[in-house]
Amino acid sequence: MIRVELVKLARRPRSWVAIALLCLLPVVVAIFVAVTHVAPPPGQGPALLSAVLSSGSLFPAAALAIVLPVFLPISVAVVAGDAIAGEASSGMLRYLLARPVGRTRLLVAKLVALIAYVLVAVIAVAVTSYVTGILLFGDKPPAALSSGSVSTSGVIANSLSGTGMTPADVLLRTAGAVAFIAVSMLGVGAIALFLSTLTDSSLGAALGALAALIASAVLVALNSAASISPYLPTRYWLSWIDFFRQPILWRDIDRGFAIQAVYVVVFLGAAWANFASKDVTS
Amino acid sequence: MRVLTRRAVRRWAVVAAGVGILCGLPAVVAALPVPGSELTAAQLRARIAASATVSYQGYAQSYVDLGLPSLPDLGNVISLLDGSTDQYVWYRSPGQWRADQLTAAGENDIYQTSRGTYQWNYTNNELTRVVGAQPVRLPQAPDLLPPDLARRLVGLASRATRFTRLPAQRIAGVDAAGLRLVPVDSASTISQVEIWADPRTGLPVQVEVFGAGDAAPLLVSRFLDLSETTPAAATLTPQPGPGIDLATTTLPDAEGVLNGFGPPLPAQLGWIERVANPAGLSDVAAYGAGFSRFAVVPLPARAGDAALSAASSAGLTVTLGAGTAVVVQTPLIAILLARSPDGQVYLLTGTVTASRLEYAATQLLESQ
Repeated sequence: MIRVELVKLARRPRSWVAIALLCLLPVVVAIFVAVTHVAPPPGQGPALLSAVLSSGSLFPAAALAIVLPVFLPISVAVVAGDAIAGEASSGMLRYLLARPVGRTRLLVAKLVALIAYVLVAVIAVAVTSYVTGILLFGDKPPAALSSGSVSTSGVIANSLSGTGMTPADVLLRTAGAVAFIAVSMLGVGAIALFLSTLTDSSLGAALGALAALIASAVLVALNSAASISPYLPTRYWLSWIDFFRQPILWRDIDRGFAIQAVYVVVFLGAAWANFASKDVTS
Repeated sequence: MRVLTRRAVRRWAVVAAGVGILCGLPAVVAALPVPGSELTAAQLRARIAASATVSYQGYAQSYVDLGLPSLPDLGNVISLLDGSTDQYVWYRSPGQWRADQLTAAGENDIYQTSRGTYQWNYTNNELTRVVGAQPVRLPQAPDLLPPDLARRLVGLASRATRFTRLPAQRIAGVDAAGLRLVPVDSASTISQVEIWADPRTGLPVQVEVFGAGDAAPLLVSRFLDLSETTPAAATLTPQPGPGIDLATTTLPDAEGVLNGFGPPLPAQLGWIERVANPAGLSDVAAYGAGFSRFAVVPLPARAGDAALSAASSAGLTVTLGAGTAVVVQTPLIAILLARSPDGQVYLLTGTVTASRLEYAATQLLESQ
């Protein structure tokens, strides 16, 4: 069942088109920055984008910062929202369940396919942006800007704290950020998957999940909602940047992983409770 | 109409129970009884005052809502005193610590080392070594950390300040003992200060400052995460990577910068006595006692004119005997800029009412 769902996802052209578009946006940004040599000042615009002019090895992190707020959640919500509702709207759900396949198994297979999609999407963005970053910006150590600058061998980029990072450092920190963002997207996916069991409209399920994220983002920015902020799904999304501080600040990273795990468990549980009891007529 | 089968009801009940447990968990943890401390208010006060030697590392968040107007060259201070500040701090001793002010896409760090103070600014990609002593300086982010803020407030208390104990609270994993400070001077804008500290070490973990008549605190500073362990020495030493600009700033001689703009400040402003005189600075002084203490600083001509002009749009212009003044009253801090008939501008500011500053400024202008 899982294999069937994975193959179905892989054979669906729109999956690859969505991933290609996700990879394309950072490439376009990189080309503009490389041609004009104008990047947002440090601390402004997408995180770490200012640093890529001096080290292309940081571009995967900058690329993730570019796609994280809008494009990645949209693509995950569309795929997850389509998981059950798509089958129902095309009339396939009845036939799928007519096979000796339990509904819980089908839901698990859909979840595994969703996890695979999220991982492929995030890793694809990281890999294509690494290649783009190295080709356009190189991976030499940051150039000395003045006579008072420090030169350190074996270092290819600097952290937000101003300390040098070796290639192994950058690789491990980027891997951590990729894992964190992938898990963050699973939370969105779980919400969309639950909504997908409530409706026969894929679009409705995807938009519902995005509405939940927008509401969360609004509340996170509201000081008067500070008491519920730690429990909102988008509260810790940007904490992946803490992988690029020295030392790595694990507090928000740990909480980010934990809150996404809670959302995944709760909404998958709700999806299971609803889908397993649902009257499937289409 | 969809009819739920017994099995469906059971499934939803499992999910609802799980959600209930997850949602109720924070409330249950918060409701767990916190062991109280036997310390008296005086003992807790003494421990807090002596806590500067306690090593710790943690994540602190402060929130201040003063509604300050924008004043020239004070952008960083205004943003510090009007909004939320997140900091991670590693502290070994008063002479060896590091505080990182965290932003969404960068950080500004201060290192205090045995070789001096270093400031890392991610936006400028610059590590600056600061050489020289600072007898007076503007507020900076580490001043808002609970231990520093609490010790400063406890140090400000006068003999007349009333100290009482508060029920214990669990803050950042610490079963903290509470201490309430109530100023008796009605001229202070601070109605009370509540400090929670680790009763074992005296390390303050939360500070709340209340304005007169306010039920909610105007300033809250607390640890969200705290470990009373000694941080690694390597964390406290700046280790700039390649391409980082290194700069050295020698602090201007404070005496030369701040002195000489006007006649020496008097020993008394009416009945308010001059209480402190930062080293070498005869033209900068603090007056008053306890929480109603305020500072008087003569400003250079250009800075004084710019400050007056900026404050005029946010404050109230008043006539003070021989001169004029602009008064800005926030719930916690009052700022008064007074111009004497000969054009000298004085800045008076403190956690006092505007009427106390107006009285002091009147006395000051008459004495000049």
